[in-house]
Amino acid sequence: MAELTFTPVIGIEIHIRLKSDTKIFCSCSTNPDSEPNTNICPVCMGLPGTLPRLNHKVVEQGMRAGLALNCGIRPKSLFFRKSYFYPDLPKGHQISQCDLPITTEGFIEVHDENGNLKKIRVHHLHLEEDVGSLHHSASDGRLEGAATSYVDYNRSGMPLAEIVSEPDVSSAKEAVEYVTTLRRRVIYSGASDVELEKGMMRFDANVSMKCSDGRWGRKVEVKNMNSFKALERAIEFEIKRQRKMMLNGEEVKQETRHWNDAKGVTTASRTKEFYRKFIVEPDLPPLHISQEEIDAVKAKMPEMPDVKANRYVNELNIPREVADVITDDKNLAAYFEECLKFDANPVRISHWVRTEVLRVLNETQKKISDFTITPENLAKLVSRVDEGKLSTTQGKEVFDYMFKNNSGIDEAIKNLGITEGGVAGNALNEIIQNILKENPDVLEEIKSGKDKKGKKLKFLQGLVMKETKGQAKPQEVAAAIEEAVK
Amino acid sequence: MKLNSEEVNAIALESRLLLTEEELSNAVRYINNFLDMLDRFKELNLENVEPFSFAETLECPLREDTVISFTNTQAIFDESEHVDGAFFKVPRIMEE
Ligand SMILES: [Zn+2]
Repeated sequence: MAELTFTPVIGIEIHIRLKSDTKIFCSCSTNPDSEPNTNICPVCMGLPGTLPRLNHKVVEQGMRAGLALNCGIRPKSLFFRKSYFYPDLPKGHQISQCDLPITTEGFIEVHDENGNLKKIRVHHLHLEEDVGSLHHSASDGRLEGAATSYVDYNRSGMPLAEIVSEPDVSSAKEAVEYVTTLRRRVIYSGASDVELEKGMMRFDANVSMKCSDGRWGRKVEVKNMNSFKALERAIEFEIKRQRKMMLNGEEVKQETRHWNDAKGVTTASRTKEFYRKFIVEPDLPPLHISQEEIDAVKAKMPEMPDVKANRYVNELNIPREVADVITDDKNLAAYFEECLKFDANPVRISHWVRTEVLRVLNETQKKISDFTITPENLAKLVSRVDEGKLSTTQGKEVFDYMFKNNSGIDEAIKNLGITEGGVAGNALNEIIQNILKENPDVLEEIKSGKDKKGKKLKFLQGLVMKETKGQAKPQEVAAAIEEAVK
Repeated sequence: MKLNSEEVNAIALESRLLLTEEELSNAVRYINNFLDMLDRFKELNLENVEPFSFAETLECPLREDTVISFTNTQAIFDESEHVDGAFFKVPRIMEE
């Protein structure tokens, strides 16, 4: 009997907080650091007699995010009321574009298990409002009995984009690449900062399994994943669980399950799913977007990260790995491109950004926006190392000095006591050590006393002078080499 | 399309309504009359007709993204009987 094989069929729903100063339907602030229940008003508290007023900025951000996912923008979209009885939403309904969304039919490219590019189709992106946040302990942190939860409505009415994929994802790995690539593109578009630690991106996954014997399990909706890791683990768990059931001849039933991150399992939801009841939101007429506005937003869209990385590779000859790392962070790529304006070699600069800049940012837990070395100073530093005016070691000393002291390159060189152009001391020794390493046979000959006429020593001197581009004093070189081969 | 009394009762519960037997049978009749009316649309030729979604021909008015803080949040708190410090208290609903 042939062994049964299973193919996971996965669709992903993502909620992303869009960037705006005010909420989607009222003028309350979206500041995530505000004190609880300070950014509230009669509109986002659902008080009778209030009317929602759509934020123009949110519409534009939705268009940007949609374009970043290769979606088309629809000239007409509409808001609905989605019935939803839960204490985190005081209106009793969520205003959402669920049925006639602002952008549709896009895609994100990921690599399949064979490393080939594969398109994950994006069904649509729609605008909606967030709900309040429930806390299960009081403001002073004490946990009360099971009877009460505490609500902060600051989040109620924050603008969200819901992004729904087609069921084109076939593994947890593809799912993670899909959400990672999608997040990076949305950040580039300016639609959102998508700060994961601030809960600006949340995931649900629809998982079902197709068996080689023709059986196809029902779709299970897995909810409550708040990180890439949780998404990956939840999908892996669900694939294993459903596979095992189908191997045992059991039927996978359609249900909603919750991911329990602490226990690493999904559990059947105890609450019955609400009927998905929509009515047209009578307080919000259809949203019309003109071709001019679509063109204007398109014109403002920046170069997307994958396009940028390809350009680095093809036009600047930067290695693929370095290009991918630099373009992973929009601000790092912007910094790198600033450096290019100051006439240094792009490949050399890219290596400094990839290694040194990322190293100190990582060590100090800082972001590139807090980085103290100006692009001009980094470009000058790279040029001087390139021209042999500074050795690599000196270059790194200057780099660290500039970073720590927020100084320019000339000040750093002066304060470190480096004589630029005169390669001596440590810098000279570094070069000699490298040359000796590259010529072990020569070193061996000298050490064993075979180099009676000093020819080999001269040979080494020549190599060192060449490496210092003539910036060292020949007598110093000779002395330093004799010292080094002792 | 017809709904039976069980389905109508389920919808009522979703809307947080408890119906008596009599109210339920009235609701079933009312809703099914309405559905019958919708069925009559099937007799019409609706090809090339854009689905109707909104009664007005207005365009959605848009608002500038400028913060205007609501100053009388205390009045909102005063409307609730269940307040603890800066929070509103609600029955605990935990999803595990
Ligand atoms: Zn508000």
